[in-house]
Amino acid sequence: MQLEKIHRKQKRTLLARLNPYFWLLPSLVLMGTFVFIPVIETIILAFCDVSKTGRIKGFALFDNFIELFNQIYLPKVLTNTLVWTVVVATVGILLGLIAALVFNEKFRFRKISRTSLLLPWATSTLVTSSIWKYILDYEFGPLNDILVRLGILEERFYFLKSADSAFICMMVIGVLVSLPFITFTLLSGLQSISVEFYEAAEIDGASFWDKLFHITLPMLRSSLNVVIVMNIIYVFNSFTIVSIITDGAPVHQTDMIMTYTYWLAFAKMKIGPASALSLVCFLILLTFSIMYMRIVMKEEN
Amino acid sequence: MKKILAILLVLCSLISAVGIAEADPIELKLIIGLYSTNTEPYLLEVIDKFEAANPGVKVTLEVLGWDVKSERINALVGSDVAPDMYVASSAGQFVEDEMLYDVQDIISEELQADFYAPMWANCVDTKNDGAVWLMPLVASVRFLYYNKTMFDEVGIEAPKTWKDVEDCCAKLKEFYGDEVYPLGIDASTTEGYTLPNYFGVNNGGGYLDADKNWAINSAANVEAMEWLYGLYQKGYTNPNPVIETRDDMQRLMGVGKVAMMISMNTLPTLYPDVDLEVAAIPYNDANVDKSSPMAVVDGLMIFNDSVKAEKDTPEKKQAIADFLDFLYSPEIYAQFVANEGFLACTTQCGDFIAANDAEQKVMYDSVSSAVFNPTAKTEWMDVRVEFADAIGLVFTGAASVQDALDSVQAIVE
Repeated sequence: MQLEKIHRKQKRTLLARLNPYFWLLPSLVLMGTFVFIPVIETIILAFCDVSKTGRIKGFALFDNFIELFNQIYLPKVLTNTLVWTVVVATVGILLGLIAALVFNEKFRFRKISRTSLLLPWATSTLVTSSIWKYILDYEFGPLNDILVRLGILEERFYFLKSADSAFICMMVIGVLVSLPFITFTLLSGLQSISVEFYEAAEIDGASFWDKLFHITLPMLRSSLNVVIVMNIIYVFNSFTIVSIITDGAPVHQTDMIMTYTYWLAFAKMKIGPASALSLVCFLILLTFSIMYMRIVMKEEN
Repeated sequence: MKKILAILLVLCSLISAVGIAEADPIELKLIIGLYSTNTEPYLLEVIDKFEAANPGVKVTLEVLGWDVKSERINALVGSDVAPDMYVASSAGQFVEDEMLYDVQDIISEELQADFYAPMWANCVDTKNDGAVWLMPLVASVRFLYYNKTMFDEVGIEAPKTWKDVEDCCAKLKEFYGDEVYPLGIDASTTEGYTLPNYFGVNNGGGYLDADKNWAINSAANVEAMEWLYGLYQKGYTNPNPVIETRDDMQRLMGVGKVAMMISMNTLPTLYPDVDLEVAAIPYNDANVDKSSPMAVVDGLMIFNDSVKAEKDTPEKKQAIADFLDFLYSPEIYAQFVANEGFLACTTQCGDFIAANDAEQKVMYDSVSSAVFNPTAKTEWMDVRVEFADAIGLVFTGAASVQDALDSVQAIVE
């Protein structure tokens, strides 16, 4: 009798122990199929001689990497990606923080304002980018029309003609697209900070900046950490904006790693070097994430 | 009792086996790009008629958007479930991996003999014992289109030679100022590769020399591209040909912002409100004595069984031949090309259409003198991509024409 009870208990604990894995199973299967298998396949392709149709013709060791680093446009693509990631992520986080601070205050129409910030998030980047491409259009775009009519510009400006102006336009769009996520993550962090801290600080005569640097930002650290890592990875991986607005034109001068990889794989049909570039990209992001997480964890300890 | 049961069982299985054999049709699969909203319904209708006439054969159709088509076919080929027939503008990558039948081994001799000779000759792969991997399916011819109203207003005629083009551009610019781009050109990654066909050929150059060898950096091509770049520098073209596509130019032509451009035979039907007239592509009379139009041909390839789950039986190959005979039969084929605004690639069908339509006849008459993309060359797709980059460098002032064309020639040598 006693023995049976123990037995049953053991069984139950085993089931209980397995229980979380059972619930995790669907996402594990999904991640395995759509994340891990492609990653492993990309690693294999990066070291193989691959035909244009994707057939593996043999082992190539580092040939794909050598061919990749011989691509004359690669340095430009890498600098573009670096500039893009640093500028879009930094400006995005700064503006997002300001927006979050504003939305955390009580004011009229706060609900409507918050919702209007949320709406662009619900729109896909593809749609947003296509609309922006139309807005910026030289011949038919409304932006030129408005600027000329207001007298800000004397004649229409070809925003997407030179690589520099096109790139700046795309960075502005990049910031606008990432704002909702940043603002809302930081806003949720702000709302978890107890009002008592501010009340105490006010009694001690703290200024706005004192409160910002000594209460808000330190208390917001964990939300900020999440936003920084997630946003940098998101911005680094931007494909849609560039693909729709310029598609790398003129002559790869506005290409970034993601769009260039796509061009290498599907226009040039160089699947080996494209996989090598994906792998390099993966390693850059992995190193960044690990380094960042270690710094963050050290601070928290 | 047991014996009777056993006999019954054997009989049953025999009957069902015969039944299966009867019910197991030969299955063919065709993948084609979406040319228009007519593509799918019309081909389904054709397939229904074919299946009714050939009870043992079942044809499945997949119509794909152009943006996903090549990725989809690569995925199918990679999983050994390639379709039997596939329509594309080039077959190079599949030839390199030996995935295609020489269509001459499959299709009927009558059909083979029916193709327009210059189109068929352009499909012959001289490197691979004269095999034909991609048989012509639909063609379009490119000409110079111009806005008659504007030309009348300025008081000029359609240009015949390069000199005329410069004169027309100068007069149009003088008359309309910056409001109108005299000549619309596409030097983008979309169709930048057509420029040697439009201007190189009409200066005695083109992608290939007389022996069908690559001659991308020939003196004639260099001169042609320099001339074109000169027009751009004088402000005679659209402001940014590196990112502006033929589609963009067509839209501008539709609102009267572009005065002339080279485009395909369907252009006037897109903008019925604009008085568009057609003329031959201008040529440089210092080097050639007549104009050559450019024809673009999409072809059909037949995958071999190295990329299919099962081996192809002789019956299946015959079924493919029968289906293609049916598809290319004049009435059915004529309706297909008419739906899509293309030209037919077989003489029977072409004659059939030209006999009833004088406008179309002009198009068909130009096929014999047309220049084609060198699609039978396995390097074609590489050249196309490389050329777009090279001409982009020229138009952004980052490279000289000579250096740019040398760099393209280098990849085929």
